[in-house]
Amino acid sequence: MADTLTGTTRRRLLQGLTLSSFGLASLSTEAQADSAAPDLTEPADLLAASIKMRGSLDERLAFIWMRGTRYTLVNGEALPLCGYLGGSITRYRQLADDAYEFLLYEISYYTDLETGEVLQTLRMPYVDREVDVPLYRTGPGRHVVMLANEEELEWSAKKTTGEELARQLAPDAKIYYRFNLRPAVTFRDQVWIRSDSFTRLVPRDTAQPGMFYKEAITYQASQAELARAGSVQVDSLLSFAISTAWRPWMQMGGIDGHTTTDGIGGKELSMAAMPADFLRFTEAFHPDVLDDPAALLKL
Amino acid sequence: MNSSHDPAAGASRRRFCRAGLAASLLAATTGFPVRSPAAELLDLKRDADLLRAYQKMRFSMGPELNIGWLRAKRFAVSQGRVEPLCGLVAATFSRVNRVTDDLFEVIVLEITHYTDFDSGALLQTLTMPFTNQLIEVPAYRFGPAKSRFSVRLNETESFAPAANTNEGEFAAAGQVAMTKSLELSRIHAGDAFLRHEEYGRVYPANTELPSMFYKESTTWSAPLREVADSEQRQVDATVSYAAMTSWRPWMKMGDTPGHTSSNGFGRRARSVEDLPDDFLAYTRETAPDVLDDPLAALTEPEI
Repeated sequence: MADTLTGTTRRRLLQGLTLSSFGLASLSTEAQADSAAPDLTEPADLLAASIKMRGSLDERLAFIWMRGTRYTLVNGEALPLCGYLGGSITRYRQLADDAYEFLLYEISYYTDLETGEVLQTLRMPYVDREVDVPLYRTGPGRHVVMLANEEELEWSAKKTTGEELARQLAPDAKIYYRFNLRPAVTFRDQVWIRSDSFTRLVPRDTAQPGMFYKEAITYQASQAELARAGSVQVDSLLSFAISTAWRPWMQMGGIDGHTTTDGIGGKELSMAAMPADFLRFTEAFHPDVLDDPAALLKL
Repeated sequence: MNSSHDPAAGASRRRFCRAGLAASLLAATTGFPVRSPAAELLDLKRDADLLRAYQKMRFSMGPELNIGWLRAKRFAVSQGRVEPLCGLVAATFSRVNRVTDDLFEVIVLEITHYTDFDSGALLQTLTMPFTNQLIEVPAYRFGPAKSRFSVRLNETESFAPAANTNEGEFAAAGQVAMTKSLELSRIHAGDAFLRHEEYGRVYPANTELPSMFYKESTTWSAPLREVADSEQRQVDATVSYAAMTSWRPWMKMGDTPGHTSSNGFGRRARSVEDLPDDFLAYTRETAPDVLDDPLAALTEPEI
């Protein structure tokens, strides 16, 4: 296995981190194939188990879907805003005992709460303003997953998928990013591993408000599957909870509040296995994603 | 409690009093099969069947004791800053009390332990983020109380902290407005996922006190074939949980803007002994009677 990364190397690897973050890890396939049952109190085993749940140790593509409901929260009032359906194309590669490279491409849809269809416009509460809802698509992002890290990064409209989309998501800014993978919890035959990430943006234009993004994702999988010799990945389910500042496209300037989203999701090993509505929307709005998802992860 | 005539009242009050536990975790039921007995499958597109499915995932279709646990982490959120606050491990002990076609009611007792965010040790005191004030952390025990569930529920009630309890540490006397809703979120890989939402606000009688809110989402999952089997009284469901709530009085956050945010997961326990070890250890310290005889702890009606 590779040695532990130095702080300098970590910082270099984290360049290119995007606003949203998952977090994962993986162990080399060979090393894992001959190992005994993992000791989830050991950092390397915990990290490897996490990668098995989120993706795969053998560097194959893994596809994550997340489905939830997004609310506005203002002065204690929670109002349903829209549905959320996200999909991610991911790949993991071991860098060291305590670090895994994580390539990520994300496509998200904001949907009507009643019909489930993709929203083109949305009437924002409190400001009573009809806003255009952007199609969210970012990547590829190169991340590093470790048990814990804190980094300073840059968000620039010119370095993301689309300059105009990037502006709608966040202004050019300095990013302060913090990530923690929590200890595993085991109950009967199930294992849960949780990660928390927190991102704070300080815009270069000091006249613009700062932004934050807080995300917790918990993966659940079978303990027996995780312990099976030679397994490089396991079936898993996830739950998530996200809080985030108003995005520029919401045009909520002056309103003291934020949005919160929570829901469930899962991992698939092929694009075809993703939820039918995600595939239908992607065929309509981003057909190239279905044609060659692996190509999207090329840096 | 002021609205003891309204069985719905307990549910709302409970939400606000529970230190923020969110999830009304698993509870139990007494099953009174609402629909005709034959071994027909539940149709989760029908409201009545959806509610029955939820009842057996979270409680049961019979009168037996149900036990569920939840583990979560709680954060303090203020003006774009998010700081770790504490962990929590909780359990509910419950049984179904009453069932109609479009509603069921449970009697529930809830114990929540607040723990150190990293170590998991039981907290006695806590330094609050943003105010940097050292406060005492109260033990949380609520119930037995009645709580009602329906596919769509909208209720308002009065609340006052019960005598000889520390309920006032969690919410002030006032009016409580509560909504609940249930939907089939997804069927995936042979599992059914049901999403339950609760949102409530407390408007204190003392108008100088700030209003409070509690928002909770739980998603319950279990094998569809077990959920849909009308012969099966309960299923081993897993729950994911996300909640937000106002600062509680015991947090002494004063005028500091913000709220708490928690999320975690849980599952049904098959017996007291099946509960997580840390929950058992802490409960032996703070509420041993509940572990000794949970059914007895559920028998005293709340006054």
